[in-house]
Amino acid sequence: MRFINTMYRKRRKGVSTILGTLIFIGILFTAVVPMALVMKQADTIYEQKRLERLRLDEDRANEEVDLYVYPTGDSAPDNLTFEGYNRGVLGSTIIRIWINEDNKSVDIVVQPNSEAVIGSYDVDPQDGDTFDVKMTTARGRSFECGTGTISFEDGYWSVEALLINVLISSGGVVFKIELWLQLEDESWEMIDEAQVWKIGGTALKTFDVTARGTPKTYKVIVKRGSNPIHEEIIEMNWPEGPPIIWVYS
Amino acid sequence: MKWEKKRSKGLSPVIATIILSAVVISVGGAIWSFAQGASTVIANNYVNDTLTLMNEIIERFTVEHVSNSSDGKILHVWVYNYGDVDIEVDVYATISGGSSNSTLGTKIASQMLVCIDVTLNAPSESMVAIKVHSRRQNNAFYQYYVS
Repeated sequence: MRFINTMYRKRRKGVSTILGTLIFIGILFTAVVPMALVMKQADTIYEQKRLERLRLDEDRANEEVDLYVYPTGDSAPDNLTFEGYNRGVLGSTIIRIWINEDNKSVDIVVQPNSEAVIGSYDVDPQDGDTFDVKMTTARGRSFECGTGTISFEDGYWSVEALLINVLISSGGVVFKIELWLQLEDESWEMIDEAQVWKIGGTALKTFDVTARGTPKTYKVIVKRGSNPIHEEIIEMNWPEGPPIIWVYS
Repeated sequence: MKWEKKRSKGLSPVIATIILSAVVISVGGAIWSFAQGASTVIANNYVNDTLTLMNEIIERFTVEHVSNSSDGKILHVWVYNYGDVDIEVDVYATISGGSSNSTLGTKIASQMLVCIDVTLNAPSESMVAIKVHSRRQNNAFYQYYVS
């Protein structure tokens, strides 16, 4: 009889232990593990979005787009043509342009190291009007017109500056840039020179030729040491053409 | 008498086992149910907090343009939300060394540009400091010269 009692007692203990263990494992796999998995998934999404945003911020910081504006010409004398030059390494989407307090939606992609006409817009110029223009990219950057305010006086358009931009991305570190002006007898006169250092991917040198007026023909010579590596003749035809001329070397 | 005693002794272990098992199952089931509920609540709270924090760090906006009315009494602040989440912002404008005013609770959907007007009697040729503060505690600043 005692033997039987002992047998029962042992079996009771076993049942409780088994049930308890089953319940513990059940809790572990139906409550704790799913909770841990959901938390881990949330962490993964958070980290993914954070890194994605970090990359977008870096892209935004690297965005470099120049805007220049010039009269469209005789075909539309009241219009201004907007052109963007992307000197960054990423494509930029122009989503909006501003003309004084008015904005217009656009959707133009400017590829790296290239330019694109954003559009031509009627601004109905009156004598004494000035136009401050800028554009906004999809990454939230705003770029103002590199030549400053454009104004309309006595039936003529004028800008604050006429510029020649020389962008060097050739191999090398130190470059010499010479700017030559073609005279009336078609000979050349050197009017400016500069030495630039390429730090990073490119070097940019801007020559202000506002005082020279238009139309004028210039020659840009880029030298590495004493060896010319690039030579280009350019025409500054403002207001029939843009007030900024780009030279790529 | 002896036989009856034996029978009651024989039955009680079975009943005890059943009762014990029932107690273990019911207590265990209660704990299981509580654990499941608690873990669901904890997981939901954690996910919600994480998503809230995520929205806080990924929201992006900028002051794209500012202008003023001809009489200088209203400041037009153009805020562009270039992030992926909708935002709600408060705009504070302070004239240098002078008064300030604000416009609160403007909602801006993702990728949208919104003009927010701030009533501010800004004299011409004064500087106005503009702060756009989102409800997720991010800021954008702008300095504007009243012409």
